[in-house]
Amino acid sequence: MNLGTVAQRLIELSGDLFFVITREGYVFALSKEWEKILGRSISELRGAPFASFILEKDRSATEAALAAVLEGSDLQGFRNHYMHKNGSHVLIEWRAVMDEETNLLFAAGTPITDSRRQSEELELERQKSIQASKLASLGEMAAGIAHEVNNPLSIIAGYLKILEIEWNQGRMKQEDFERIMSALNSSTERAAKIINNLKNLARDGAHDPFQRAYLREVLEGSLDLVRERFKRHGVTLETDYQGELWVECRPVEISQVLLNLLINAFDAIDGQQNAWVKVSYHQDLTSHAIIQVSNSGPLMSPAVREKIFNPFFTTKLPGKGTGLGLSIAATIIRHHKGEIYLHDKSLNTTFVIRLPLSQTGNAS
Amino acid sequence: MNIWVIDDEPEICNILDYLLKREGHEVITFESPLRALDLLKTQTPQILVCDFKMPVMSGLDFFLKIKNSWKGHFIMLTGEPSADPRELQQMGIKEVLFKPRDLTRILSVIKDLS
Repeated sequence: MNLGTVAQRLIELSGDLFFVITREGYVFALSKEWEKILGRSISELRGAPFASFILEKDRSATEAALAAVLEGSDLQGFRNHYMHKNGSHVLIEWRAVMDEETNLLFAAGTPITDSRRQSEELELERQKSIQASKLASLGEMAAGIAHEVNNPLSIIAGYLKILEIEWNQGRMKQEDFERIMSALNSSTERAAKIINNLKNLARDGAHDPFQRAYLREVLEGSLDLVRERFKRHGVTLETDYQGELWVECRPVEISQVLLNLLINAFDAIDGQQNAWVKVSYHQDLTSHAIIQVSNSGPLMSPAVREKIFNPFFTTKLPGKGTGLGLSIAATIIRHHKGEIYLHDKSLNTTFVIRLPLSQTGNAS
Repeated sequence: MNIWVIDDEPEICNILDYLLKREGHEVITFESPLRALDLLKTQTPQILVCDFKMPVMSGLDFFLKIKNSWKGHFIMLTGEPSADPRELQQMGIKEVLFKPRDLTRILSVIKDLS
């Protein structure tokens, strides 16, 4: 028995799916496992054209993949279906290389079982629905922000119309002119401020580098986006910043987390008399920044508290919340080596974010 | 014409008050629909111009509350780009105007009604 025959025996006896085919596409050697997959004996298969076992619909893709391997590229993760004598199919995933010395193509495959395919499909569905919800919450936010911008724009349009009328009549009083100019200026600033903050928030900050950021500035950026809405709905916004803290973080992501907490707080207290939201920060003894967002809304029940960070959990009305905000917030904070939790002794609903001042642990 | 303007944005109330009075209309403005609801018990404006998104009560809820008892022209003014005029029209709101572009167009709409 020469070495070639030994190798052939080895391949045949292997419990895995091996295939060796010639450059012309004929089966040179294959493992015993194939008998189960195709329902034919090894001797029957050896020397047969390899393509004849592949399901019709996969043939052209397979030929293209083979051509690439023959030209020297490695094949990974290619899938095609094989036909059993009894008509059933099996899906197999492939790795294949061309061996120049023997001029043979070596391939190893793994059958994709139904359960594996199902779990792959399930994972795909899950990813899709998270993506859809992200888009939905982006849409909700975009609509809210469009509304915030459209109001100052309407005021500008309205006062411009009034200016035009008054100018044409040539009887405008100095004080009216000044009053209109001031309304135009403040409305322009209001719209510009929203757009400016939005520029940051619309981005996916997940791949931003960590940088030392002024915590006050990061928080104020998010507060600017909701300040007007809070004011118009009679919600008092309080801040309590203790000292000036620099935090090594991805500022866009931290702004997003904060905006999410602010929107939740707003939804929890909208319509309530004397409603308030408070944002504060201080440094603790372990070189962490403690950021707290509390509101005057009713305390959550233990059942709600328990699930509040779970994906898709929401107490908002259908269409109002996706149930993803806090779970995304928790992921972001985890990536910052921090924690986010509900304060369990506070008399009001209080979210606490504990962020290390430095990501490397040598906080100054 | 007797026109009421309901918008939680005080400047929008001011602007419409100015523009409509200039055309010779009688105007009352409200920053909350609840106050307008109260006054509707004793007075009947011919035209209501109402913002869509307001705290406490939306423009749509306000309209649904009054549509059986009040017969006049209802103009919805909205800053929501996603608002669907056809949907609102099916509910009986004939005029849907968008902020900011239609804010001054309101004058010609009202002229057509009178």
